[in-house]
Amino acid sequence: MGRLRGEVAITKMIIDALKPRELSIIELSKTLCSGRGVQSVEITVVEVDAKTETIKVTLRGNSIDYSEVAEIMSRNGAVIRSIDEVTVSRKGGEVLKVEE
Amino acid sequence: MDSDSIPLSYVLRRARYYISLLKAGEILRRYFIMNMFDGLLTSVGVVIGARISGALNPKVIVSTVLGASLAMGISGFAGAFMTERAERIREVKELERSLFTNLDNSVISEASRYVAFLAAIIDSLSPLLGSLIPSLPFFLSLMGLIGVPLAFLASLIIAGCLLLGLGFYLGKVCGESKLKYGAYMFLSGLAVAILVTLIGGAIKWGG
Repeated sequence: MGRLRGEVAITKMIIDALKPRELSIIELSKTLCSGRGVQSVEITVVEVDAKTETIKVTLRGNSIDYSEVAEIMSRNGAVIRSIDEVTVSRKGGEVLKVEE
Repeated sequence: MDSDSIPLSYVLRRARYYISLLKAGEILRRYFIMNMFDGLLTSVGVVIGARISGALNPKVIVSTVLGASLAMGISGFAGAFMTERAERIREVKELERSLFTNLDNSVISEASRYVAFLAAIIDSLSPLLGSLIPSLPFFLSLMGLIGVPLAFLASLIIAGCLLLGLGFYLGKVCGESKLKYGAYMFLSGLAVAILVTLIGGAIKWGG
């Protein structure tokens, strides 16, 4: 990693999360979209349970701050189960993509 | 943000969000209608009872209604706060078990605390207003602005109008005839008036 110069930023993330059914995905997506470096948020309900819903959150942006995303999710009562996909990019054009 | 500088619009937006988050609108509406109804009927009972017993004195009515309103207000606040808080805590704990997480610092817990407090405020203010508003003419009578017979009539008319209004509101909520619900509410007030008159009369003649 020492040879890479410039800022490495997260530009896309796909998160698998569990949220209370009461929490609206409209409110959650709007709150997530107000986070630093986030430009668009897409939430899909994958599974519906009695009290909870499993959601897939896709975040896109120029420099997503994961700790802020985690904080927003936790504050809204949603639990991150896994990060299923991450795309990071470095200033200069080189793109590193990691998939689980 | 300093708590003094939080704008009212933000507080209202937050309140609306918390209520919609916990779907608490229904329970808050129920608390409001039931307790306002209690307050109105208490006021009708006190006023008619005083008239039948021959103690239609503004000072007596005002102090009786004030005492009853305060008692209803305080008991409403304490009762609703403790009940709602316990119910909301139970719901949050159930949710925590389903989510396998602690929700102490989440918006869900915040909304639960807020809704319990709001329910207590509504539960205390609605009977308070329900009994105080119809007795306003007696306050005016106490100040010497109107006569006692007019205060008696005005008090019953105000109570009747508020009962009709509550009924109309219920009709609007359920999407049925507003007039029908208004009539139900009004007839309940009338039933209280008749019962108090009969019981008061029986006691008076018996004594």
